[in-house]
This record gives sequence, structure tokens and C-alpha cells, in this order.
Amino acid sequence: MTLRVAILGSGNIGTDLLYKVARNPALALVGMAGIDPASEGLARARAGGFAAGADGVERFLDDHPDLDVVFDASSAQAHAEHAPLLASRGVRCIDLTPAALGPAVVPDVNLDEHLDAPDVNLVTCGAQATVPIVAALSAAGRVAYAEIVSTVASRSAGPGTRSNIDEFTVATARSLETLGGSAAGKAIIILNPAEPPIIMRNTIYAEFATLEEAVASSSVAEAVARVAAYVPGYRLAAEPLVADGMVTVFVEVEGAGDYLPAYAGNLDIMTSAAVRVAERYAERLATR
Amino acid sequence: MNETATAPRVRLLDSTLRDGSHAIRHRYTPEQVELVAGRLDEAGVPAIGVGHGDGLGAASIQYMRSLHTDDELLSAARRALRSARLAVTFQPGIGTKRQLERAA
Repeated sequence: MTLRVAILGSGNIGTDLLYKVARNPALALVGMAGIDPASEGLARARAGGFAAGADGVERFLDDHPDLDVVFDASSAQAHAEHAPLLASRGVRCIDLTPAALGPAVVPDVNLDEHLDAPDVNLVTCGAQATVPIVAALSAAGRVAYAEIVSTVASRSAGPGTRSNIDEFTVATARSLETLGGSAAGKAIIILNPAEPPIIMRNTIYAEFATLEEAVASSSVAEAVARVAAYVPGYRLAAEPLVADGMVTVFVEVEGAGDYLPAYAGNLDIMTSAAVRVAERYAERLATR
Repeated sequence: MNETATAPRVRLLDSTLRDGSHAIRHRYTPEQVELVAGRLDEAGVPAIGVGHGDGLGAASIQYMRSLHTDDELLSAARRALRSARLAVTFQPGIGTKRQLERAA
């Protein structure tokens, strides 16, 4: 069965979602709601034959009372206003903003734990890229400390990212602990201004109390394959290094180039993860 | 301010206890910081930078761990300073605003 979905927010993320949702057979895109009638996102939605509402989210929800799921790609502040409007209408929300009102979800790690949550939050791009690795390593031994460094192209970091740098490092570090299973976590983000822009690169360091080296390496490869199933540009940049009780993993993320340029893997992994969550909701309804 | 137009005023910020920590793999002890900061203060240096070489919160695998925390090193410097001002380095994405406020 297909789910009727809509996108809130007509910026970069919302517009990239437009393409990913429109081609997903499990999802029926109804339209996009924004606040800027002149935005390129709304123009593209209109051109694709979808509803494009510029009169605010409440109006859009009233005009389209049959929605199952919305993706919120607006802002943390706006999401806090949208959440009660959605809850009162029984519309489920996949939140891509840093609002973190609902439980944190990284599809490869804990998607099935929150299939009934009215609102789930996708944490950060850094968490989406690194938590699956830390969780896989936690299954191979006891991770005492996990540290990740996410490097993204300066041009892929808009004003939202820049004004939420602390939220990024704090939320990502927390997710290494709560979802990744590490006893302690630390996250660092670097905006790289190189031209041409670089794709997203992540270094994951994990220090172990106890470690099965062979198990660690194979569990990382398996996690990368699972994430790549829903984020096609996700891959190991080099083989994991295992030395002195520490494993270092390098993963990179190239975007699909739907709306955002291919270097913006950091944004693509968010929209891809969001679509994977919605797809899982649809799979579940189909098996009921 | 007019005199700056003719003779630019140079203001020193000594970074021995911050940038200098790279050279010793961030192994400064609070005792060393207190001693050096105190002598720099006596010498009339107006601002003294202290902490991990890459700034607040940088102690990590990526940037190398410190023997002592930023808090310990900054406290040691504060004990020694009379007239000089304490300076820190801060890079968004590494340190957080909370760490900056703690240092203030």
C-alpha cells in the first residue's frame, strides 16, 4: 500500500526530498508546503504536478486532510509549531530539523523501535553517517569511547547548519552513546571551503575495553552495506584500521545529485534516511 | 584613537601556553602554566592564551588529548594573573558555546 505524504519546507532539503519521494513506489506525493511563494522548491513541486502551498502549514493540512505522513524540512523552531498541528490531525511526522522532539532514529540502528511514534527525529547528518558504524563496533566489543569527525563542503552548509553548530556536535555525540552504544562520545564538525567542493567525509574512532579484531572489521563492512542500501553514495573510503585497542573507520558519502549537488552527501544522507523511514512505514502497513 | 593612524599600536598576546602546547603534545601541567603565566604577567604582557593548542574542547583523538583539562589549565593561569587578561582559542565545531562560557 502506498502512503500519502507531503513535504513541509521548500528549501534545499525539502526540494531534494521532492525528487526522492516522487520516484519511490511506496510513497504517493501529495505536495509541498512552504512560506515563500517565490521559492524554487514550490515552483518545482508545481511543475511536477504536485500541490504547492505557500499559505502556511496549517492551511496546507486543512486543504489536504488525507495525509498519512509528512517530512518536516523546515526549521527546529517551525517544527515545534507544526508538531501539535500534525498530532491533532493524526498525521505522522519524520522530522529532519534539529528540533529533536521525537525519538532519535537512525534507520540502520533503531528504526523498528519507533514504528508507532507520531514524530521521529533524524538527529544530524553526522549521526546518520557514523552511528551505524559505532553500533556495529559495539556489537563486536565494548566501546569505551567513540569520537567522530565529519567534514562537509562549506558550500553545503547553509545558515541553518551554521547557526546550529553546537546542536550538531552535542546531538551527534549523544547519539554515539544512546544509539551507538559507546560509553562516551564526542563529535567534531569541519566545514571545508575547498573548491571544487569535497564530498562528506567521516572519521570514526572507537576505543575498546575488549575487542575481537576480526569481528570488528567484518561488522563494519556489513553495516556499510546495509546503510548503502538506502544511501547509495555511502561507502568505505579506506579499510578500517585496527591497532592498539582502537578501530578507525573512514566513510564517505556522495549525494545522488537529485536537487542538491553530488558533493552534498551530508544533506543527501538526511533525505535518504527520511525516505527510508517512510518506506518502512509503508512496508509495515502492507504486511498488516 | 588618532595616534593609531600614524603609529599603529601593537598589542601582544602570548600564546606559549596555548599554541606552544603542540610542541610538547599538550602535556603542560597546571604548575607550569601558573609559573609561566605569572612571569609573563610580571613582564607586562597584556594577554596570555592558555589551553589545548587547537582551542577549547579540542582534547580528542583527532587533535590529541591533553594531559590536563582546559578547566585545570585555565584555573592555574587565573591564579597567577594580576593585570594580564586570559585568552582562549575557540573554533565552532570543535568547542561549544557552553565551554566558552565556562572559560569566561
